Amino acid sequence: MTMLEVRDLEKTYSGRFGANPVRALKGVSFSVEAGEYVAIMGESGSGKTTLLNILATLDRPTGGSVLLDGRDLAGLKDSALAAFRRENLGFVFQEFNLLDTFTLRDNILLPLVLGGKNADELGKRLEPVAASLGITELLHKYPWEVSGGQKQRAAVARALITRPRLLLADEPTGALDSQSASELLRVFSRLNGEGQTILMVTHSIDAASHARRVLFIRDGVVFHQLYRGEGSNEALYQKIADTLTMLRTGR
Amino acid sequence: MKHSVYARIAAATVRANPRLYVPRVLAEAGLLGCFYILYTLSRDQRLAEALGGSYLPTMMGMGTVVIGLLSGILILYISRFLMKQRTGAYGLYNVLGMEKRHIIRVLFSESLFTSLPSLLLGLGFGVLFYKLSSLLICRMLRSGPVAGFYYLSAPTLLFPALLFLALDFLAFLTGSLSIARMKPVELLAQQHKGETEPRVKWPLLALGILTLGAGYGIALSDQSPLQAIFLFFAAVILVIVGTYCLFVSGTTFVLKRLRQNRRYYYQKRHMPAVAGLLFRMKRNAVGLASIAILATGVVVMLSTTVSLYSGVQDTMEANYPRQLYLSAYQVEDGEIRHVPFDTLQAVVSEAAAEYGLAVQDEEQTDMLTVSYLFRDDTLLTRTEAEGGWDLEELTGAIFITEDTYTRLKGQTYISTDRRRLDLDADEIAFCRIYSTVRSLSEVPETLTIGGKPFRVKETISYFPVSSNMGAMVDVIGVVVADQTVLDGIYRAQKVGYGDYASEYANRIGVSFADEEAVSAVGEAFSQTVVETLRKACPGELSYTLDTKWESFHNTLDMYGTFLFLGLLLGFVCLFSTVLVIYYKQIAEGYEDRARFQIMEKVGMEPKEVRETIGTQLRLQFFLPLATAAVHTAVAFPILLKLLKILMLSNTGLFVLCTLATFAVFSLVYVAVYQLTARTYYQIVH
Repeated sequence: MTMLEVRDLEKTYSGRFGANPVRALKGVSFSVEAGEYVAIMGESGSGKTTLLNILATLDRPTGGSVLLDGRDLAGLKDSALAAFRRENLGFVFQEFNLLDTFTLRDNILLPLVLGGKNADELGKRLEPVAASLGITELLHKYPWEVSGGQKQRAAVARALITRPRLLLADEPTGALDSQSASELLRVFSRLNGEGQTILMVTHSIDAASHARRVLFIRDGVVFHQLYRGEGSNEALYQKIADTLTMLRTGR
Repeated sequence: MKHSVYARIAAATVRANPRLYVPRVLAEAGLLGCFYILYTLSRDQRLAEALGGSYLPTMMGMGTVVIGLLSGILILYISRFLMKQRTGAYGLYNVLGMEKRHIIRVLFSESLFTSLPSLLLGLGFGVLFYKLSSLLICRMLRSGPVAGFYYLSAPTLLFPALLFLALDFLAFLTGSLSIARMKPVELLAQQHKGETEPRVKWPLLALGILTLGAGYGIALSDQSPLQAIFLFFAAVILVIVGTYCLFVSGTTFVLKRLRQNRRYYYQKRHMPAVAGLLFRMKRNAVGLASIAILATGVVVMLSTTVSLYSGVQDTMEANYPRQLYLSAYQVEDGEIRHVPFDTLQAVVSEAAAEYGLAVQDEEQTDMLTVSYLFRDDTLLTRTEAEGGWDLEELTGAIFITEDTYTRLKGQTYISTDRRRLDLDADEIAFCRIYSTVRSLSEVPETLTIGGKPFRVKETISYFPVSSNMGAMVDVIGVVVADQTVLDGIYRAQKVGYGDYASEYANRIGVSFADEEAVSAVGEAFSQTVVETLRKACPGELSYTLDTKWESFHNTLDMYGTFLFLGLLLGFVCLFSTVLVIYYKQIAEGYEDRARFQIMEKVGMEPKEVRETIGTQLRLQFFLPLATAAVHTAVAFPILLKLLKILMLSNTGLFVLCTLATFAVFSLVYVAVYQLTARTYYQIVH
């Protein structure tokens, strides 16, 4: 069943003061099935961040459409966007984006509180999520008191607590050391195994090699894609590396 | 050549950051302008002459000291704030290869580029508004305007300019010192200091509750106006300490309590606001407490000065039922001889005729006024008092005979009691004419005067002789049976005080048909009265001439000066408050920007983000205003007592003035809040 469908997506940034417009996306099309784990790769300036922002409803496309569960995001009013985001999407960012005025507990609970859930429900939801990410002991701490890996796990907990249809991750391992990064990727794989749909933007081959499918974006279009099939992480890693070499050298 | 590089960098910086530098220039210009006006007022000879022996120059001189201090504090505060904002850029210069001394040169040029316009603008502003101020003063003190247009003199221009230049230089020095002490890595990474969770500082909380409680307790306790003077300052200091302590610890305490209440805290309206405020208040508590205190100061200062000034007329009517009081005596062969009523009357009539004034009516009083210590139902002379005495025991007593009493009472308009007193030689009638220490209803059963006990037969509420003894001490009126009794009292105090003893006085009080006409000739008429009196009584002469118009002039001068100073200082305080708010908002804006972006990403609607920003800002900025309102309300009773000492007892007027002042202050405050909140939103988005 197709969960996310992206059709001919275009985004053009019109320059200020009559500068030349920049075409960040020039017709991107792909789809994501429910339960899939997709990585999107591309170099800086390839348009992958623009794509993610549009999928996250933080930005609107200038052409094409995005459908989540068959519903066109363009039909959402600005005022309904925040609620839509809260109910359907979970986010994990490179820079964690935890609020330094909240403890980890409050950071994780924030989306639920914004959704108007009552205090009793909050505790019930928090416990399993925190336990599965191994941060139960850290909940009373502030973001600046814990390590980067712990911060990112708290951020994942915040993304998951609303039970989102789609988990969007933007370079989730970018600010982590290698050990924390591989821990996080194991968590993602486990979540995907439990049925969570994940879309991750990254330029780390290691991160992408954990996904089931890898899309390559260059100059604003989907240039290529790879499937894991029955292969191991290592095999996918090799395929990705080959593809990137090919992309760079112009085949 | 190198010189100009740093200057160019500095100029570019100043131009690129109008949000930071324009308010700084305006602030300094404003302060300098006010300083210039006060300083020049204290030195302007023509004004001093026009006003004639006014309190003004002295008071204005004191005002300059206050404004000078305040300016110093504010200029240093702003420059420290600007340093904080600029630290990142200075760090970058350093990393890019500029040496610290070069950075200091940039800082110097920046200081120069803000200092020079401030000075020019400030002096221009001062010169421009000086004329307006002097006109306002002449109007307020009801004297003719000063001739000539602009008053300009080198010293009054030079001193303020040099002073503010020195302040700017001091600010530059502290700035360069902090640059010299910083390490380049720190210069770059200033922003990311680890914050700790605010903790409730229990000792401060306890101290705050105690001091504020004590301060409020004093203000609300029952005390005499005389005690009020001394207690007021104690209360002010206690309340200031309490305010600081409670802003620092109390806000954290309350917010933490709110956070512990899960049902309250985990709601979308409350959670971001409470958590945000917890950290915000920690950073801003001291600044907000200062705003609260400044605001209270402005309101109290303005409301008291405004009501004093606008109450002058009432005060005069209450204290001067008649327009002129005259008494005189001559010393012949070592004996005191009172100038008889007839002579006094003739003198006033003659002088009045010269000015074409008609005497409407007059009262004659022969009385004895003695200063005693009121202790245990006994009036003691100070020499009789054993073991020293308190200021509060000091009491003025006015003695008249029953004859005088009935005669005066028959003439005066209050005559509710037509029954004769019929006092025996050992009986008196007692009246509390003016009470600052004891309550009006406190009447002894017997009163011992000059060692002799008298039974208080009657308590009377109106005494026909008015007192001009001032309002600092209690004044009582005593009616005795006859002249023999009075003479006994006279002799007793004569023994006690010797050369300093009081004498009988024949005093006449005169009302004129046309009060305005008398006031118009005022001083000249007073002089004519004195000259006529001297002609009528050649030889050594002592006289007391107390006129409503002179008293009015003096009081108006004093209160008008108070008011002008109050207005100017109030303006400067308000100005400072505004400035502190503005810079706080900006600093907050830069810090909060990232936070609100995260909230939007996590699923907060932009409208909700605006709301939670609004809630936090409003709480943060209106807490000081609310505190000021409470402080003012609590201070109200004690202020009323202080005003009573200054002869103002019109409570309604004072309430009105306080409310009006607070309303105006709140309006300005709200306007500033709106303006700065807009800047804040612009920064955040």
